[in-house]
Amino acid sequence: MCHPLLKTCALAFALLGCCAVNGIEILVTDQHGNPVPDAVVELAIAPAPSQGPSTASAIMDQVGRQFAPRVLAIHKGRNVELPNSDNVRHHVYSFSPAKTFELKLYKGVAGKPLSFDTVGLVTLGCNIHDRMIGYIYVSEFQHVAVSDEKGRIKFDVYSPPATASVWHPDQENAQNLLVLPLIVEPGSDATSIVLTLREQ
Amino acid sequence: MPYTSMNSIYSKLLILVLSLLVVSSAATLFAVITATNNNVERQASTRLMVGGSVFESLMETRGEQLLESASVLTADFGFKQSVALNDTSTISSVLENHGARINADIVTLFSLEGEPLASAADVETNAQTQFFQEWLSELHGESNPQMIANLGGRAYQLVVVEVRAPTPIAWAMIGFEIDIHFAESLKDMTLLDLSFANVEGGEYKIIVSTLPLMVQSTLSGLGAGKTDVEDFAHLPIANGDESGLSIMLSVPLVEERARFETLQQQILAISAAVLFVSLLILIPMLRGVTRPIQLLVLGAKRISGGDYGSPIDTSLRGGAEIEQLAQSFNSMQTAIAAREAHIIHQAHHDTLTGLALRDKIAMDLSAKIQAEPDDGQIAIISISVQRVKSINNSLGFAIGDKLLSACAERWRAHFDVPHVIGRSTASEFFLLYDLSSRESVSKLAEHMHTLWSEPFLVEGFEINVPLTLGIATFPEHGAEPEALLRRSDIALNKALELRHPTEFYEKGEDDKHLKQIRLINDLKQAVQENQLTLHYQPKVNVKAGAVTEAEALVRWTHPELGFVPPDEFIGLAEQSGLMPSLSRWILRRGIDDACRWRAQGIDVAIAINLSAYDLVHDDLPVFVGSLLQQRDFPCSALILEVTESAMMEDPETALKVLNEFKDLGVRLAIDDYGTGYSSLGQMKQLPVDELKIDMCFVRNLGEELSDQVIVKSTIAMAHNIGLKVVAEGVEDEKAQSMLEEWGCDKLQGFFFSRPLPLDQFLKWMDTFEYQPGGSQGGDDEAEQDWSDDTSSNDGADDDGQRRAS
Repeated sequence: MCHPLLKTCALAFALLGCCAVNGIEILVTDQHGNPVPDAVVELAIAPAPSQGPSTASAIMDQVGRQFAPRVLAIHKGRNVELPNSDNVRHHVYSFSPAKTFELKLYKGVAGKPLSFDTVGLVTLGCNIHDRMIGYIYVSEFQHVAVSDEKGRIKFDVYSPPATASVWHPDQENAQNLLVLPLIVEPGSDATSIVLTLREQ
Repeated sequence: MPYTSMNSIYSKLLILVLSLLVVSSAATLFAVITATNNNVERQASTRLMVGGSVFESLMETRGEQLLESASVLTADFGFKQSVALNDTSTISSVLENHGARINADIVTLFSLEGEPLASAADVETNAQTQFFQEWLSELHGESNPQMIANLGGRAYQLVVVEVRAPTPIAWAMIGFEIDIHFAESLKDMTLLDLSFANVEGGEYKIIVSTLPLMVQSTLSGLGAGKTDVEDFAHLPIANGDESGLSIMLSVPLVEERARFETLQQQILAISAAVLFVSLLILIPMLRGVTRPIQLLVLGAKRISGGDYGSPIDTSLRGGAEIEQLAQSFNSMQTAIAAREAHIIHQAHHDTLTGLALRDKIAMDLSAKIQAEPDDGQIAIISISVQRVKSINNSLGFAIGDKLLSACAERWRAHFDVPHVIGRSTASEFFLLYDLSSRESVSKLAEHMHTLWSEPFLVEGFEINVPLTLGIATFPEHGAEPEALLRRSDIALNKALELRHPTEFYEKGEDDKHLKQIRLINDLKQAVQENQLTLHYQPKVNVKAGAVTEAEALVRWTHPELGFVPPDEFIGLAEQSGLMPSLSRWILRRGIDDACRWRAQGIDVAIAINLSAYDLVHDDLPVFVGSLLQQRDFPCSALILEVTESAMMEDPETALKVLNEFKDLGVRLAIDDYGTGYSSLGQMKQLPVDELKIDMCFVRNLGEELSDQVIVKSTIAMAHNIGLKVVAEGVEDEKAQSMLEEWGCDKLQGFFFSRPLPLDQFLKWMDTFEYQPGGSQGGDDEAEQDWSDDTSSNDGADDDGQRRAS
């Protein structure tokens, strides 16, 4: 005889377990096999009901006269704060159709957070510093992230889909998302994407 | 004028110096022209290079200006915003504004694909687009270059800059037109002409140029790459081949050249002047050198012609060397004259005695004859000093020479000027004596002999040298110097022959002498041309009662002089060395004739006479031997007769030769026996077969008792020593019978026959019948004259075997 509480707990645990399973880790490499940091990978999967959109603001800081991070991926509707951790002023702008704005950021003074409601790529520049370039990718989907310095991304999904949309500033055709296959290593959980970058 | 010929020093020097001048002037001129041209070129080149640098830096500056302006434009936020937001009107106004700031002629915005988005001015938009797209595709946006482009036939300096917001969203192109103002401002700075041209299909189209129009059109005609235009040097900066655009800097050379032209003209003028002046100076100067040489040449010619009398003028101008040369010539002339005189003197005078020689004597005689008054006489005396040879042999030549000098002295002492003393041979002299009317030649001769009776004292020896004189006189004995000398000489020879102290020339002797000389010459021809004949006189053999031998006697009929007696020409033959050929002729002919008659069956031997010369000097035995062999003639049929005196001349050699003849097998006979000087002892040794008693003993045998004794005893003696005897000169029957009685073996003489030519002889042989002596009566001599001789020589018809001593 199964105790009904036990069943619930088991289901819950199972569910939890499912949910609490670590998800997948994807490794992004370039055509030479080198890990690619700052790669946006978007999985076109509907989020679980329990997973609501994040409401926290993302942060696009300016550090050392550079945007930090260089590439930011958010689900549409989220806010992004631009704090300006530099000791100089920055005049951040973007003419991208997804978000056209300009923001004068005095040093140490954070600007008000901006909301990014349109899907698309927003290229940020600084009028004062020509070399400052940053990217914010506003995604349709919740499962969107940027690879770390080792080219790894973790996704909270049970199993990897067949393809993912990928974008990197240094890719050949920097305007478009690329739909690339997820390569699963047979016999292991290793998943990778090979992205062709512009030869430097 | 011999001095215009190319060979003369004058011409040579002139040409040489002028050539040198011309060459040096030309060389100088050439060097100057080359140097100045080089200079001009280098200057031009330098200027062009400098100008090129200036041009480049100017272009760079402008480029930078463009670049800066473009950068400012593209960095502007508002511009970026308007470009990013595609605010075209804003974009245009911004472009215009920026363009106006720097006076840019082109300000155009291009999309990343190369499409023109906006432009400040409508300047060849299509061309711009084409250019930009080419640039984009070829250079892939190489950042911020400066370029020069040909847009629609005009040249523009352009820059292209990215518009980043912050990534590249567009291209901005800004440019200046390169127009004439730019070119002129460059020209102001560098003084160089600037040309921008478009090269299309090899055609050179000028876009803008500061060059004069004429030059522009010339350049256009030449096409790309050709930069050689007169009066300009060019430096291409951009090659028209690749970009279709050609940039060229030019510098006019006229001014540069003008500067040097003056210099070149000056040099030319100076050279010409120098040449001209040199010519003016050279011609007389050279003449001054060659004129004295001319004179020297004339002087030398005079000297070589024998004229030593005219010295060369040493005051000739022409330099110290010429003067020296003239002086040397003069001393040479004098020296030559002196030497010639000396040589002539030596030629004419004897070195030992200082007396004149024969040539001079002849000349002096000629002069004397010329100078002699009408009744004057000159005695030409040939003098022979006796015994000189023996004195030389016994006392030596040194003393002999001294003696002769002493003789000369004595003559000179006694026969001074105007008489002339000369020396003709070693011991013979001449004296030319002007006879005054009172003097007689014989007295003169006597005087000379008297003078010479006094002996000479030479080196302690008392020497007596008698004289022999031969004298001819002018005008008695002739008027020609040569003839007179010769006649005097003839007289001397006569004196020497006759051993008289003095002999005078007699008229005709010269002729005789000359005749003799002529005969000698003619004899030579006679031998060669067969003017000679052989006559044969038979010898009757008593025992056989027939003719067994015939003596061959040579006869000569001279074409002009007629019959020449043998004693004359044989003597001459010996004297003149013709004897060998004569003897050989006689031998050949004789044997030929004998062969002939022997072939006819007449068995008669031939007897041929040999002379002393033949015996002693010739190699006749060999000749006779080979002749006998050639003719296949029996040696026993040949008899050689040699006179007794001939054998005694050189008994030893004669003996040897006779033995050689003996060895040949011929018979030998002693001819003219009794007239020579042989001794019986010598006779004994001779390998002879017979003896011929001379006709002088036989002719008058009938009358002369002494002859009879001699002949009889001679026959006996000869027989006793084994010799046969032949009697020559049998003229009558009496002689014949006597001789027969005494046992003479053979008889020869007119009684039987005189010498006859061959055909007559043979005829005579036919009819001859021997009749012993005594069988005929009386003294009738039937002189059977079978001779056809045209001449009537009685006396000397016998073979002339008298030999000259």
